[in-house]
Order: sequence, then C-alpha cells, then structure tokens
Amino acid sequence: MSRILADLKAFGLQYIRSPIGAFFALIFPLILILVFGAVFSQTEDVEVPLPVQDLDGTNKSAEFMGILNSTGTLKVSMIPASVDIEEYIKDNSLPIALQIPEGFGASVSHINSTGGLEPIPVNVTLYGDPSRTTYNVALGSVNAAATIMNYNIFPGSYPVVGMETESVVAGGYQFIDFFLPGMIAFTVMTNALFAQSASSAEYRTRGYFKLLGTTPLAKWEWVLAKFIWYLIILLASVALMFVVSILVFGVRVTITPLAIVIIFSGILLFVSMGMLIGMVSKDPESASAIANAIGFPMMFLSGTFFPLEMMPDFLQGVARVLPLTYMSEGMRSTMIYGNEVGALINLAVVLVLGIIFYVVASKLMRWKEK
Amino acid sequence: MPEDPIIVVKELTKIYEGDIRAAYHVSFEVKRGQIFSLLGPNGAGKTTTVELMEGLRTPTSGDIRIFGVDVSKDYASIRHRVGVLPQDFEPFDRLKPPEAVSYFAGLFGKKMTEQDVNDLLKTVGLDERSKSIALKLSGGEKRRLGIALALVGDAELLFLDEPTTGLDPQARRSLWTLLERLRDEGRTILLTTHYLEEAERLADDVAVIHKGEIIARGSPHDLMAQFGGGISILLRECGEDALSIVHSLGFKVEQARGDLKVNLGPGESVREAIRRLESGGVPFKDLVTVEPTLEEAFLNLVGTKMEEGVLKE
Repeated sequence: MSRILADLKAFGLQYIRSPIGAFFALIFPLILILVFGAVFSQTEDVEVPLPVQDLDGTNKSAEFMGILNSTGTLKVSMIPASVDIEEYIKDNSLPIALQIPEGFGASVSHINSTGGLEPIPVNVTLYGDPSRTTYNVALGSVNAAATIMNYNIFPGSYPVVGMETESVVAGGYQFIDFFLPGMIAFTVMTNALFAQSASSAEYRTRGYFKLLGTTPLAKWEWVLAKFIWYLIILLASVALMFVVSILVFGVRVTITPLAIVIIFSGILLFVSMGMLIGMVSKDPESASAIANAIGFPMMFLSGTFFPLEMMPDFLQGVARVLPLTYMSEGMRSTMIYGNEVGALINLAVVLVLGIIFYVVASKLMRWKEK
Repeated sequence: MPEDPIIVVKELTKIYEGDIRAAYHVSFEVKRGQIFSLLGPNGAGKTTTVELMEGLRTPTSGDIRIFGVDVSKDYASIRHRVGVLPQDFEPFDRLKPPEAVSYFAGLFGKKMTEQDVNDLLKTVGLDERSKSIALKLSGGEKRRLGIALALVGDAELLFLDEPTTGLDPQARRSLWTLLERLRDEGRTILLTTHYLEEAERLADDVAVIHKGEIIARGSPHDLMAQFGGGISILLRECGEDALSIVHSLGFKVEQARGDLKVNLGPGESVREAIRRLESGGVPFKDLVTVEPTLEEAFLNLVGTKMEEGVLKE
C-alpha cells in the first residue's frame, strides 16, 4: 500500500506539472462547456429527427407523415405500433416523439349520412420535453404539417387535424443538460487516452519500467496507482464542470450512482487503451500521434457535441463502433432520461471493452525482458 | 578465512533469437568493497550481463549468485540490498531531486525524513539543486540523481551501467571521485564502461568482455603488464643516427615525432635498458619512461582501437 501511495504521489506530481495533463484535465473541458454552451443555447437544430408511432396505418396517416418529412425541418423515423410510447421514449432516451392515433384515417375521411365528406377532428400527440430546442422546432413543424393536411382534406373549412402535447421528461432541460454528460465522457477519454499513452511510451523507452522492475514495486501496483490517479483527477474535473455549468448555465442534470460506475469503467477502458498504445508505439511522439488518430474522431463522432440522430447515416455507423459513443449514451441515459436499463447496456459495453483492453495491455506491458 | 565473494557468476550464457550470443560462458567473482569493471565496446554484452544479474532477464544457462542467493529464483529477497543505475539513465523529468528520492524511498518501504533526503543528495553532490525539476539538470547531475536513487535502499551493492557515457570530461572526473568515495565507504560496485581510462582509474578488478565472452581478467595493472606490451622508454631530441644504433643494440623501436620510442619486453629491466642505451652511445638529450596503458592492452587483446565504445576497424 505504501508503494502504491508513493507511486501515486510521484505520478500525480509529474502529471500536474505537465502542462498538457493539467490542461486536458481541468481547463479544456471548461472552455468547451463555455463555448458550446453559449453557441448552442441560442441556435436551432437544422433538421430534427422525429420518431413517429403510427397507430392508424392507413394511407391518410402515411400522407401526414409525408407532409411532416416535406417540411424540411423534420426527419421522420418509425416507432413500432406495438409498444407503449412513453416507455419507448424513456428506454431509447428520445427527446421527442409523435403519435398518430388509431382511426386517424377514418376520422379525416368520415362520410356523413348524406354521403358527403364530413371529417371528424382528430389530434396527433407530440411527446417530449417542452424546454428543449428540438421540441419547439417539432411543435412548429407539426402544426404547419397539420395546416397543410387540413387544407388538403377540406380546403377552406374547419380544422380537422389538431395537435395535443404530452410532456415526457420532467424538469426543463436545455442544451447544456444534454452536453454535460457527454462532456464528462469526453474528458475521461481525452485525459486517460492522451496522457497515459504518452506516459507509458516514455516509461518504456526511457527504461523506467526496467528501473522499477529492480525495486519492490510490482507491475499491478503501478497500474493500480495510475487508475487511482485518473479517478482522483477526473472526479475533480467532473466536480469543476458541474460548478461552472451550474453557475453559468443553471444546469439541471445531476450525477447519479450509475454515472459514477460508468466513469469508473470509462477510466478502466481509456487508461488501458492508453497503456496499450504506449506499449506498441515506437516512442512518446508516435504514441501521441496514434492516440490523436484514435481520440479525435471519437471526440467529434461520439455524440458529445451533437446528438447522433442528427448525423448522416454513415457517420452514425462509424459512431456505433467508437467506444466513447457508449460511454456518452450511458451517461446521458442515466443523467438526463433516468433510463437505467439503457445506461446499464451501455455500461456493459464500456466495461467489457475495458476488461479486454486491460488484459491485452497488461500482457504487453513488461517489467522484465525475455 | 577469506570472505565469500558478493557476486559469483558461473558459466552464464544468454542467447537471443537469431543465435546472438550476448553472453557466452561468462564466469567471474566480485569481492566486497571492490569496484569491478566490465570493460568492452558497445554490443559486447555488458548490459545483458548486468540485466541478467538484476533479475531483469532470464539466462539461457548458467548460474548467478548474489549475497549467496540464486538470482533467477529469488531476486526479491536481495533487491533492497542492490542499487541500480540503468544505461542512459534519465530521471523523471518533472520531479525535483528530493521528490524522486522520496518516491524511491516509498517504493523500498523506507522512512526518510527531509534531513535524510537532503543528506543523501549531499552525498551525490546534488543538495544545491533541490529546487529544480530533473528536466533542468545537466547530464552529470542527472546521473548523480540516478546514483542517489540507487543508494536509497541503503544498497551494499551498486550496478552502474555506463554511468559516465555521454558526459563531458569534467563531469566524468567528478563522478569518478564520487564512485571512489562510495567504494571507500564499503560499498561494492559493478561498473560497466567502454572508457579504458575509467576502468584504469577506478577498477580494482577488470573483466574485458568482447562478443559476449570474457577475454581477459585482472587488475588494471596486471592487464597492462600482461597485455600492454611492457614499459617503453621515450628518447628525447635524438641525433640523426640514433635509430640505427638503437636497432643494432637489439631493441624494438619506433619513431614518434622526432623522438624514439623504445619498447621493452615484459619483465625487462628499465635500469638495464638505460645502461645499454647509454653505453651503446645513442645520442639523446633526455629520456622518460612510459608505462603501458590499458588502451594498449586492449588494442593487443582485441586487435583494434576503441573510441566512444566503437571499435575502429
């Protein structure tokens, strides 16, 4: 234990004195929060994904969805008719969803006893969080689509298709609430991956592993001290991010126990990944280059800065193979949507990957030569 | 009864992939309180031999006992008695010397007060540099810090792998003084080097290693006497016919910048040679005797000169 503490203290001092380490751990996340928080709080999303549950299944409901798509601000996708929409929204952490009721087609094309068209008013339901930007975009667009539909059905007469709303997510979330959980995942990744890959490569190329191999310090003790260090620095960083987000943007999301477990797993994964890179690269410079090549795409494609649903399909495919995606989604599931099942699934992915990378990295890491 | 040697290496062999013999039937013993030098060019197998002794590598065959303990089986039980300075040592850039020392003290489970740390840094001559991170230390200071780290566990035995390589002559000389002092305090030092003058100045015992094999063994004086080609007499400001006269007297002689260098055979008496040169009527103004150097011994042993660890073909 005293050996681990000694190693922890020495590594911590080196880390804090390295300008890159301290910057990525404490300053960089705050800059991003301030910049993106300011930018995205005021802009509207260009094309909002709108999952629709069509309980009607007639050509009239299909026509309505066609109109929704043609607004240019909405992109319709389907929710199976068999599910309970509110649960589905929670399970899939959806910001918004629309439900077209059963009998929609029959209502809008109702024929009265005299054989004339006499539509019965019918409402579609918009589910979501009224405080979100995407919600307000959808609200306006669905209203517009209803107006067009009304004109198509019964020009110049009373409105047939209306809209009612259902608030699903409690407690007015805004962009920063979406951003912060992803930002935490992002910070865990950048710190652990960038700092540890360069550090491991330095220890290897400079013969520190050999030197430590002649002391009583065991390999596992060295590794454990690294995990503990990243845990300390990253939890400090998370606390700092919360303080700034609360003071500047009045963020509403809170940290959850599951989120902490996900942070632990993320540290296991990305520190191990960093160690692995440090072991297979030629020198600290090439270790940094490899870490950048892996880390930067993850930064921007894993849904930290924009929701995955807003990205083109092929980029969403890329995001699905990036480990940070699962960490970000897990963090958002538990912190924003209270969707513990979704969070656990994402946690499982991160944890399993973490264990795999840990095993491979510690196999490759040698105190001793052959 | 003589004390058992601290290190006993027997028939140590390490063969790397591709049939590279880094160490081949290497045997030697190191006595307590000595500086033992493994002397040889780069790639001779010095570092491999040292790392085998430090338990960092596993021998292909052979036996290493340190403090009577079989290193391949139980290095852990002796590691606190051994201090190590690896080849090309660079300390942790962003730690200050006292922090690095405290770190190693922690690893060895040793309680050190601030005063203890400072005393140790004073021993290696670094107490004035306590406020600088290692990155800012000079090459010589970095090696001193490395030696301080090796000393943390109260090591009785130090493995110093090329401690002065890459240092300027002044830093090298001052490090030599430190190593002599450490030896005089009773520590045993195993030192690898490719500097002949370093082995000549420091070592009580030298093993010349070449292509993984020990090709000569003894004190620097023994090696010079045995392989250095004997003492030579330098005749200053000789007359024109001096060369032919010296030749005719049956001496081995070569010209050296206007002087003549007369090489005596092993065991040949200097006094007797001078008497013969004078009575033979060799014209010279003055003479000096020149002892053989380890460099000459090395040249005779390996057949080629060595500069900065590289053999000159």
